[in-house]
Amino acid sequence: MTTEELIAARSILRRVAIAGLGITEVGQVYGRTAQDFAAEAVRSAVADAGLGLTEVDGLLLSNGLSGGVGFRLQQELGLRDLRLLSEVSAYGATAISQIQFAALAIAAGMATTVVCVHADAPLKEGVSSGSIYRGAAQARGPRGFAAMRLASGVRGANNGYALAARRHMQRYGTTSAQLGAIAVAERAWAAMNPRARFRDLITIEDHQSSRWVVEPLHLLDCCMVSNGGIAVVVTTAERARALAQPPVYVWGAAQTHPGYTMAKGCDFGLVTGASISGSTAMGMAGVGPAEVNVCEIYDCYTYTVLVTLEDYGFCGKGEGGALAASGELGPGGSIPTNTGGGQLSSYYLWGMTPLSEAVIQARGQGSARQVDQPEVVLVSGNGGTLDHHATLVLSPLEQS
Amino acid sequence: MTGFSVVRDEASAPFFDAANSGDLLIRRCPICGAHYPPGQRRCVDGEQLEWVRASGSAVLVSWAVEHAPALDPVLSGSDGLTSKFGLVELEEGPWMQVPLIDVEDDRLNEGVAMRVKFIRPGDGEAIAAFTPA
Repeated sequence: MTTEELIAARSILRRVAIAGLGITEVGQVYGRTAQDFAAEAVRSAVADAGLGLTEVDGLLLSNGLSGGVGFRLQQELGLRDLRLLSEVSAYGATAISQIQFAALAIAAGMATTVVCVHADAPLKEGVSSGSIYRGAAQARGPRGFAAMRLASGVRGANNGYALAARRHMQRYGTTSAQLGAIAVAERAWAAMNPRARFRDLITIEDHQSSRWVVEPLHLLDCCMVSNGGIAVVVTTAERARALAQPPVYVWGAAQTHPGYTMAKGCDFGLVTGASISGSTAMGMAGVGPAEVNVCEIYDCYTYTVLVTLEDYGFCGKGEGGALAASGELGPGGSIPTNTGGGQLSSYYLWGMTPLSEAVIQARGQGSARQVDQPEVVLVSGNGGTLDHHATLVLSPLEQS
Repeated sequence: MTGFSVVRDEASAPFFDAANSGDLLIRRCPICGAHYPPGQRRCVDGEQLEWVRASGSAVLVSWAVEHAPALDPVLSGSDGLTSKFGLVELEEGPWMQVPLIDVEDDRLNEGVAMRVKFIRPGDGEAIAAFTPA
């Protein structure tokens, strides 16, 4: 970005703040639709901010695997004369995109108080998470090249990330045990998070002996699937300061969609959109990795955390395995990462998992797992098979 | 899982005609000469693509081993419990994600030379798999 572009972006971001957060019961919660979860999350976030629903004038929707979060949500909540209503979709990068679009809308005078909501209810009682994601990939009744791709292993997220992880391991010597160190560190954080689904501590040996899903990914390299909803209220910084919760300011925000060529010279698996997105967002914020106090990194797989931290510059390219194994990502480490347990151990609601924990940490509301007075909280989103990346830099302080 | 087979459609018919006689067809832009995998519909410059025979030689980019019942026995490893698939870089440049067959784990490495070998899941069309050259 040019200096002029950075200044323009900052002038927009400094006008807004995150003022409310609502998290429904999440996990193996049955008998409710995605729309049910979305409505509850919005009500909860608005109440958390100390606002009434009548003060909401913008609503940005995000759907997960199950779909079902629709425009009828407006009527269900009794919202009248909204000035902004839209669905945003970039898979795991959606949540940060929603925040960016909300900020733009508020800075442009389109709306003053925008609720960003994501909800999903793909889990059915007695059906495995893996078969739910695979089922979605196979549901199309493939013919022709689509059928040939299916036979070639193009189905479900696990397979694509297994190929990405393997390439990184081959090129840089990254090991399965180093990936395991990420699962172990996140579980240690999850043990202190009452909302986390998996709270029993694990060891590298547990990781190594967990069953293969798709080699090189063990079960404990993979996130869970959850039902639930999360909503975030974005409003003007001025208004946020007068509301119920400590404002969380947005210092930097960026997206990068690499558009991998999947041909000779392609760096799929080695370098991700985090490289450009991260340097752009941190540039906007005027910080580098050394100034970041907490990382909330999209962790659909352990590998995703490792490669994202590399691309964000917390270590050199190819050194992510050593960083993971150093113990610095866990409680007491110098780079506290996924302090709620992440998607691996707490709950999986796409980009809302890291974003929600970032808001909790920035507000200082993390209780037993709270990182001491964080000033810079880095958040990532990642969607598709590394196809979509987004970065957010949050802070409890106004950007100077 | 039983009964999986690949059924052709209009767009894939030339590919499967060639596959049934052992030739790997890929796509090429007649204007800029760029090569694409068989499923590509247009060149990035917007041009229609033509079919061209690929050499069938490739190098391995990455691979994975699925621990789940294969869609068809021809996709399974010798243990019958796993199946291998990978990304190969065709000599012409495009990558294809393909089944890997007749390959032991110790042969799998980035950059290993691979060769196309057609397999036929069920009673459908022959599809392109790769094996060490």
